[in-house]
Amino acid sequence: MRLRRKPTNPINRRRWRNFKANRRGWWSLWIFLVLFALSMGAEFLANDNPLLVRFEGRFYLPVLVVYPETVFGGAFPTEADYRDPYVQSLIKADGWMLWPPIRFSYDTINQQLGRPAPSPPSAVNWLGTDDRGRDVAARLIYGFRISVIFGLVLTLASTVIGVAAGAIQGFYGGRIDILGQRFIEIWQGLPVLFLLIILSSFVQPNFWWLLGIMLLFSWMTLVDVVRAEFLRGRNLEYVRAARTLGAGDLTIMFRHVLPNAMIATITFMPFILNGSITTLTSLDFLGFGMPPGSPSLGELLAQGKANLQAPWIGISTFIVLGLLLSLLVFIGEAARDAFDPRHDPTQGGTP
Amino acid sequence: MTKHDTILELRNLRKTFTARRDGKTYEIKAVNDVSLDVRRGEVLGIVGETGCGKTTIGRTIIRLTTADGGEALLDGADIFTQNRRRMRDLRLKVRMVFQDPYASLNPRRSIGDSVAETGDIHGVFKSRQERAERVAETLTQVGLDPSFAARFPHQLSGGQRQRVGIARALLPTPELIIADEPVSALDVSVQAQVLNLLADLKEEMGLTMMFISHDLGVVAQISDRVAVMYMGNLVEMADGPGLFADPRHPYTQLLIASVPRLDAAKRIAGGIEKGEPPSRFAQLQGCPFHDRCPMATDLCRAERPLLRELDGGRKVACHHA
Amino acid sequence: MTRPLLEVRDLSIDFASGDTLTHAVHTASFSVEKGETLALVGESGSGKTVTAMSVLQLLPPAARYPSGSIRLKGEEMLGAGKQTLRRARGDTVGVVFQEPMTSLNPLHTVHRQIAEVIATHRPMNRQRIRERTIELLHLVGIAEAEKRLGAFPHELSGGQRQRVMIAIALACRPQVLIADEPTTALDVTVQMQVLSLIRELCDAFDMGVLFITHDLGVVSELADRVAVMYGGKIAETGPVEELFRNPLHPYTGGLMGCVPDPAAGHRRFRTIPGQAPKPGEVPEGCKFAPRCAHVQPACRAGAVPAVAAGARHAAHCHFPLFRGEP
Repeated sequence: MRLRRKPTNPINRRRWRNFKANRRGWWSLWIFLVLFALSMGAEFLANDNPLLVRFEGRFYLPVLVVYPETVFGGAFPTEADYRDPYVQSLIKADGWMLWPPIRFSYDTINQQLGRPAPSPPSAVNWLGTDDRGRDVAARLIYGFRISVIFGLVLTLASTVIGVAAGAIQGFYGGRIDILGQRFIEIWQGLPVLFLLIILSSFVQPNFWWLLGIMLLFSWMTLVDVVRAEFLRGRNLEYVRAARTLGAGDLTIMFRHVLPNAMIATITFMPFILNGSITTLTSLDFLGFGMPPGSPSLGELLAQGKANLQAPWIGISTFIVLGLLLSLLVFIGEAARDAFDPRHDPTQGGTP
Repeated sequence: MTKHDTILELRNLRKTFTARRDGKTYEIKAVNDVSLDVRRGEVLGIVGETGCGKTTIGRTIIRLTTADGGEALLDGADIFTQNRRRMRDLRLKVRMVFQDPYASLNPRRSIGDSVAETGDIHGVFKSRQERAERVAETLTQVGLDPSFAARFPHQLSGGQRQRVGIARALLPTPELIIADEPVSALDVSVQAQVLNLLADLKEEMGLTMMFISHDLGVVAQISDRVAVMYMGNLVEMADGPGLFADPRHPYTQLLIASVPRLDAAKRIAGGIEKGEPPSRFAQLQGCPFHDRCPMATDLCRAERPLLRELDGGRKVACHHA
Repeated sequence: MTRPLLEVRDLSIDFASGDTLTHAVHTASFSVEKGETLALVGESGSGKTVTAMSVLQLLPPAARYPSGSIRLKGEEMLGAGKQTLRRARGDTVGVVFQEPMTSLNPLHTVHRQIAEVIATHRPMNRQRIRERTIELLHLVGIAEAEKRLGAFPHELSGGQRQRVMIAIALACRPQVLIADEPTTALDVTVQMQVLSLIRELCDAFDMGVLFITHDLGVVSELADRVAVMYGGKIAETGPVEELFRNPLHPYTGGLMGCVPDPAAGHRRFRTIPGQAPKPGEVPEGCKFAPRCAHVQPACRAGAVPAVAAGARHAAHCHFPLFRGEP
């Protein structure tokens, strides 16, 4: 008999089925993926450059390429401002423009506001504008994207470091474990928020700075669980059996013990993601996060608080943030239930 | 006297564990100066009760634990050295079958993967095709359909899992199999099937096996020679039928008398020997069995008897056998 | 003729889990007389432990009893009230479990565990209880009983723990003893001592004993009568000597062929092909048919009758072995 592909473990198949059976989690996953995909294409949804321009018989892609005004017959060699009525008239003279649904980017100030900023929702600004005249909807989309990407990168990096640290401590035990645990205890005692605030008084933190600092502390979340799993796993009979076959330490860790540890890790991850997004939002809210001008859910929340007379800012941000975090929680719960050892024959005792 | 082809020789093997209890540190001699040999093509049974050291011997040979003293020679080469090539040799030549069929297979790996693992680690297979073929071949050898390779441990019964454990030890063909209580966790009818399988494999493949068990009946039926262990000491070694027909060491006699038998003539009455095996923490002088032995004399209490060779190749460690 | 101490008739036990019903035991019938030891023999999944535990209603809440009756000294146990059960447990019936490490409370001393049983059923003052406890420890052969009163289970050896278990079971001089594989976890030399102790005490107090085991050797040496279970049903019942000389049911015959005999030297076992059914699998007809060497078409259809051969020796088989051959 030829083995065509690795047989899928029926346990994993069953877990997947359990996950799908949780309708709320299943739909949440889909909604989240769709929203994330959309936000990745934020430039195509909310931009002050049109998607496509046909001018004098040729196609231009302002969404991707920067064109100087002179291309369209204008006077200045600077980048064409497609929102400028003058440029629009130039193009419309011999062509057309295809705009994305929202004709603002996150930093575009609507010069043609009839009312003082922040202005309420209108046909032009679907969710109104913030206190600088920037379109709220656009800022929400870009802010959503930044939050999710930040969260994902932070979660992934924390997981890799945390699992590695936990694995080494748990597997080798002894002095390595003692040293590691003491180090973590001390390190965990440091106040992250204050460190970040202090840092922002020296440097203007950007995406990568924030990520780096938070990563310094967020990796510790998973260590306990993974360490426990490795401490337990290294004594299992089948690990001993693998040793007698000549398997080296790394092989045993990766092949035999890690898959078990990943169960708990996977069920944690949506919640870590949730936490990361919340932390970034909190920092932005306080003003210690992303540099001013960046689109950010937290910053919009701060604006919403400062402009209670303009409820469209606060409410819409709250809804987006609440939706995002709820989706992640539902996904996490569904994953946790799917991995529940009570339904898992490998975690039970002998029949 | 014929010179036997010895595959494994243990000389003065020693392993001591330290235990703390109520603040005091005790030294437990799990294996106390044991010397024995395993001949090519034979099944050597090692039998004894809990704490006698039989499992520790197996673990030391396969280097799951490190011996504290003595030597082990596999085909003449010392396997306790740190030499990497020798270690690799050891892993390929000597394999273990474990007791608990439910715990000794990784529940996440398919049967095929588990069986092929040794080969994978040592790069024995030249192609995926070869790997699949040899796995199928080995599964058939242990009486399982090759389609089992795609299944997972929780889908198999205890007896089937134990067969997989045996299959894992067979690929690639080893020189020596150490079976550590391979049938103790199985039902009697399944146990019989697996024992028949082991006997068949021994005949077909000329396997050499070290069969460790606490079950005297099982050991009797499969072993060529039997070694009896008590409290870390080797007390008697003889060929199977001879040992049961005429046990010389008092402990062996006690052991044989204690095995419940399907024999109408034998019935339990009251008033059997009331002695208990001494605690492992006790430090006994002299013969380890002297406090339960009906023949014990002052000599037994003072001096530990060494293994003596009697007529017919039998060895006994007793002053009065 | 005196009424048997324990009489089980047509007992069926199911386990409910979600919306599935697992049939663990199917119409089992047996009885234990005063002064007699009945061994209930079977492999794992045969239902022997479930059957024994059902006598005192010690099964988990998921257990259901669709039919049958369990009569203890004439009193019906199925559906019995709390008072009846309390009286039965520890007073009329003593139980010895398999794993003394888990069935003894690791946080209570030996004295406390024995005293608890006495105090529950035979209230007496502290001094008397202490005397009785020491008496019991002597009875079960524990040396230096007075010193051992304050010991915790982990300070005792396996054999000693099992003796304490027996002391607890016998504390109120029960008339019936249920022993669930009491020596399986012990070394063979210790097993022999514990079994001889059980024999001695049961003879002395004329108790009826229900002894569960998978070891045919133990059955042969200890029991007077034996009931062989397979797949939740009783395959064969009969006096020990008679049954082993003339097994009626092919499973009994097959089982005997699997027992290792130290004196027999090298031989291959006569094995039973295939494996035992998991609890809950209920094929049509005889449960043993898939593995039986003498199976006929009639075996797979419908209920299996009981065939008797001799006094109190019966098997559930269409074509029982007769002197080893069908």
